[in-house]
Amino acid sequence: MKYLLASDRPGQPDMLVMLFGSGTTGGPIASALERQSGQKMRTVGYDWSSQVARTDARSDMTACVGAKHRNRQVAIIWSAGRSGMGSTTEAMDMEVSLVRELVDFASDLAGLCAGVQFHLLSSAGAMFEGQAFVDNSTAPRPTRPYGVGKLAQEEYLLAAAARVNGLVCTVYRPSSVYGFSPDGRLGLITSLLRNGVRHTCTRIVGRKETLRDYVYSDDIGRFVADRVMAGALPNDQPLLLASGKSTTIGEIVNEVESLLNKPLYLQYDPRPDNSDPMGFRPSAIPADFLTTDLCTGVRRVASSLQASLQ
Amino acid sequence: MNSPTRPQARATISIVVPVYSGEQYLKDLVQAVLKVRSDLAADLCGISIEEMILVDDAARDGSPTLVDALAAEYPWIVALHMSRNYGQHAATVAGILHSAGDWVVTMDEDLQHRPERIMDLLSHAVQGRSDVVYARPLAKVHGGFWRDASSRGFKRLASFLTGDPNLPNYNSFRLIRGSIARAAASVVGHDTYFDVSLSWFTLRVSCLEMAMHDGRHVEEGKSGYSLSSLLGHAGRLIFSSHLRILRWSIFLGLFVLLLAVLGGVTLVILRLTSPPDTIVSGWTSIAVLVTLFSGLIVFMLGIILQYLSTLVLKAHGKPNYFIVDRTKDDLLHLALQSRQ
Repeated sequence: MKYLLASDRPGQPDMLVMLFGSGTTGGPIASALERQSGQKMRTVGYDWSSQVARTDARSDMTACVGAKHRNRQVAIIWSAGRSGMGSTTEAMDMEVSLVRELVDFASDLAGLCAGVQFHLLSSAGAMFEGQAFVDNSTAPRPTRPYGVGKLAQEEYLLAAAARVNGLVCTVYRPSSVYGFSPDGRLGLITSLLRNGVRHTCTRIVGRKETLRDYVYSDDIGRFVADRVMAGALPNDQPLLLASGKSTTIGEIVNEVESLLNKPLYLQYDPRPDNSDPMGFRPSAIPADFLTTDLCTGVRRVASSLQASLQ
Repeated sequence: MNSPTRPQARATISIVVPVYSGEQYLKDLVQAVLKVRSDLAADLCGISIEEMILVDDAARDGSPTLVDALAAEYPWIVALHMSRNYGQHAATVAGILHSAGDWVVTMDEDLQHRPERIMDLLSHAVQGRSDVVYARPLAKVHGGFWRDASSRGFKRLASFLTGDPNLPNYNSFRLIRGSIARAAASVVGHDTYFDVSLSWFTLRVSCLEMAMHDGRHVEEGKSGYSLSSLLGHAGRLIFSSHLRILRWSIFLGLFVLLLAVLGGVTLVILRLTSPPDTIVSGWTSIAVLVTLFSGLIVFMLGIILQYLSTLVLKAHGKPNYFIVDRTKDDLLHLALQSRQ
């Protein structure tokens, strides 16, 4: 877990920000928070594998907030979780229980400080798999344990925010996130780049014409950090973080091949359950969510990857 | 209304409209599309126009503001603004790459192409098992003899040179299977004609005749294209195609080489058998050498051109293969039949 203290900001409240998860999405959120606050994030141990250790850690944090940070707003950001589209029900149940622990923790803190915001990074891909032209009126229709688990997390959080005085929440639903993080999960684009450099084969689950909406992780980091640092008010509906432009896997492959200037070794696994198109209407995306175009984003990931390989 | 037992097809349509000077036409165009969209929704046939992508190609009138206003009013309209004028083809490609429909329709901004005919294009595609359907004008489009005649003449010449029988049918009002449209758009370079890149992915191309009238050209007396831009189009069309003449070049070179050998043998025989004072001394040797090496040069040039054309096509993005899914067409065919 990482945290930072933001103080002495004209017109804005003092804040204690806790970030759980610093992978592909959490890493850019941390970087953006540091840039905006001018403070460095500090790392505190939070043992994901031991319930006892986690309980002790939360107790310590609760005591600390009660003793030293009563006048601050507390922001808790969940961007952790190693689950994905292929996760089992058991794995998702574990992640749901981790989120519930933190939501309960946020509920406990709400009475001890100037208010708690809980920012939950969910998943648009999990919610709307196989649905194209999704807008704000489209109901989530998860088909896998991953989506069912993510929806359960959202519902638990919303119920807690409705029940607990002083707790507000914002749910973000990013679409297919790409970016580079040494600790994060590799997505399609990063895998293609890394394997392209290494001359190894990339296995693609889907078809060349499979449509997805790719969004750069730094864009998500910046958007979430803006909301956190502004002491954002809660939103009634989840915020869809997508680019509004559906892109085929074939287009991604062409882009990477063009960048690396070499053909890629590919194996397509055209599973029917992962080949349906998924896309989002631009009108459903927050107007202040600014996205990096795919061409630039791929190049930035390639630069980061290249730097890490040196 | 559909009967409850009608099989449920599901097909989405994206419309792509490059916009350059469409301020006086766009609202009417959107209303016409809205009517078709509403009729399809009311029909419950499972076919829907899900999006209309207006691509502002650095339009020279008030179109950009109008495009944004339309996108704000209708959630199914998407506004794209090019950073500078790139041309109709580039704008079309950009729009297609932003589409997500099972079928993509491209059309002009000025109501020359009627949205009411979109379903006819789709029916024609499904019935004829086509991946691409071009609208073919029934009569003169531009109202000018030279404009229409030169366009037809050039397309026929280009069709002969490239060996592409569909070339004369290329039209900006087209219906394309979505996966193929996006695949072709993703490989097309800035010097590649989009319809040529389409031909790399499918040969299932057909035409549907319909009335088309370029009212803007007739009323204003001018085309949206200058002579130089038309010539640029023509050049791009020719040079993004694989010219048949390049394939013939090797055979031409071999033929010339053969002629050279035969000619050389003939000249030597003549020299040996003719009286010594009837042929200029040294002429036979020079003639034999010139014809032999000319033939060799032409043959080698043919081989080089063949390699070059392969590299150029590769650079243009011609794929080794592409896989398409047409399994839903039968269901769509039934839905369209029931709708009629």
